[in-house]
Amino acid sequence: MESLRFAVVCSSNQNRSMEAHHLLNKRGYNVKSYGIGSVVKLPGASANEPIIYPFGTTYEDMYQDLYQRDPHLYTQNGILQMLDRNRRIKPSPERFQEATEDKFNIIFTVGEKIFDTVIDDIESRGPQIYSPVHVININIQDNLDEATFGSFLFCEMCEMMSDSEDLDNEIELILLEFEAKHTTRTVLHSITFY
Amino acid sequence: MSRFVPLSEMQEDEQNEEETTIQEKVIALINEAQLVNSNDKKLVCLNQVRELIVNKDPSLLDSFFEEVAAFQQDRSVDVRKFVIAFIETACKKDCHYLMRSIQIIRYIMNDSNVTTEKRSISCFIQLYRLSLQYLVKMKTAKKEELDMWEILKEVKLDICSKLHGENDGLRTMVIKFIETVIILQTKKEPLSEPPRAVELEFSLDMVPLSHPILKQSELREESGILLVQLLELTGFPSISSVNLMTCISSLCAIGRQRPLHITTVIQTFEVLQANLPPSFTSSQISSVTKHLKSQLLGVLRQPGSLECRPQIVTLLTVLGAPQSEISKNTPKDVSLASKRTR
Repeated sequence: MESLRFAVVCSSNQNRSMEAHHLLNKRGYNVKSYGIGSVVKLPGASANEPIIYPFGTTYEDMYQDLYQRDPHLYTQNGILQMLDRNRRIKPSPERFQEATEDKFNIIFTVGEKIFDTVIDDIESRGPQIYSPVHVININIQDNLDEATFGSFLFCEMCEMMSDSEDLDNEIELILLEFEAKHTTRTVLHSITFY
Repeated sequence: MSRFVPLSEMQEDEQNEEETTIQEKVIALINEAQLVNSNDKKLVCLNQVRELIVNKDPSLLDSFFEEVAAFQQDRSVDVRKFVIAFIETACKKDCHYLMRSIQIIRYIMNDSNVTTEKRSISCFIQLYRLSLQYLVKMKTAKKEELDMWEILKEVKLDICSKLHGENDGLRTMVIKFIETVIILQTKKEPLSEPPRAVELEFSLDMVPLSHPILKQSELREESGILLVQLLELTGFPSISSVNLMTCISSLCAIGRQRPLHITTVIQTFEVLQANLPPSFTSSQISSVTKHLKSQLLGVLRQPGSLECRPQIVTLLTVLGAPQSEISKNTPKDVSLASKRTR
């Protein structure tokens, strides 16, 4: 059977989606990752001063830029390590709304607003090939520890879905089984069409 | 002494030579695809054939259409899915492949593999629209076109009969097909949401009353019956949350594109929100409610929903949509119009 195509979407395609991308890639899944924000935001010296880059800036350039700005601060808050991991996976963050050629079976999102944006974006394109895509949200806070935990949750779901012989027929059971195991996590699910 | 060859003739010769080379390449690739055992290698060959005859030299499409379509009987599901994608592309390029393609789809639709069956429905959704656009241009009823319409009707009935089948994923595709048939077979109105592209345009008002093949009244009646089936489906206690959401999206798409049906759709949703299947878990209820809310906001954004605005707003409020979100999704001219009527 053709392997399932997964996508993971967060805001800036830096932390939550890239941590999951890294793990799913390592486990051999067909995965891509995206951000849905208008720009890429990274934590700066204070909470009110995020570092902003346009989508398309490479992880390498961001790494060099932050290293020049303050190597101590950006090592201490884990941003340089994160960028170092990211640049080994792909060249630069990708914006979901611009990747209209990419088609998936499953799209994971890490927050309700991101879930809404992903669905709105696909629906705004209108159905073209009438291929269904399941959009699944699990809220994951935007910090390094939660991103790691979230990546394991997505990985577990990928495993359950890949084991299914007929995902469209079994998806409800898979999600119920997943929720029964992770009672503190609420799963939102929707279906839309490419 | 050699003859002087004009430049135009030389270019023509070169072109012929290139065509022959491409043709030879295509023959070699098709032969290879027939002989190799590996499905991956077979798909590599067939994808190259598609690239050559669809994109590189479309004049060859006619010569090799049947050879590629013959792979519909291949043992591999992926190869059969390739054939579906191929005929879909061919029909979009040239509607003269429609008749043959519909016959192939009818054959593949009886496939024992559900993935292939679902893929053939998604293809038929597109072929059905293309066929109506093609048939509506006919001034006289020729045998080939009459036969084509008969097959289309048969396949349409066959797909619709699967609405209450056992496979949930298959039912999802059937719902999507029914949505398309309803929209195509209903008249467009001034406030209808326009299609995404001009080439997707088709509505019942485009069918002349005296059309030799398509009968407006039959098409309208059928779309009405199918709409009732979709509306009733939302009340089935055994419906899955996925299919309930698909059904909600379809009904909202119908409402946006054919405002005539908005009132009926909203009335159905009013009943639905108070009677969600008791078997749903709390997260399924959250997902369906959220989905209904977002689809309703999409309907509210359409100027065609003006008459039903109070009912939509009430329903959205019951579903927990904040006033700010409702206002944001109400078109400005609609806000002004409602103020003027007070």
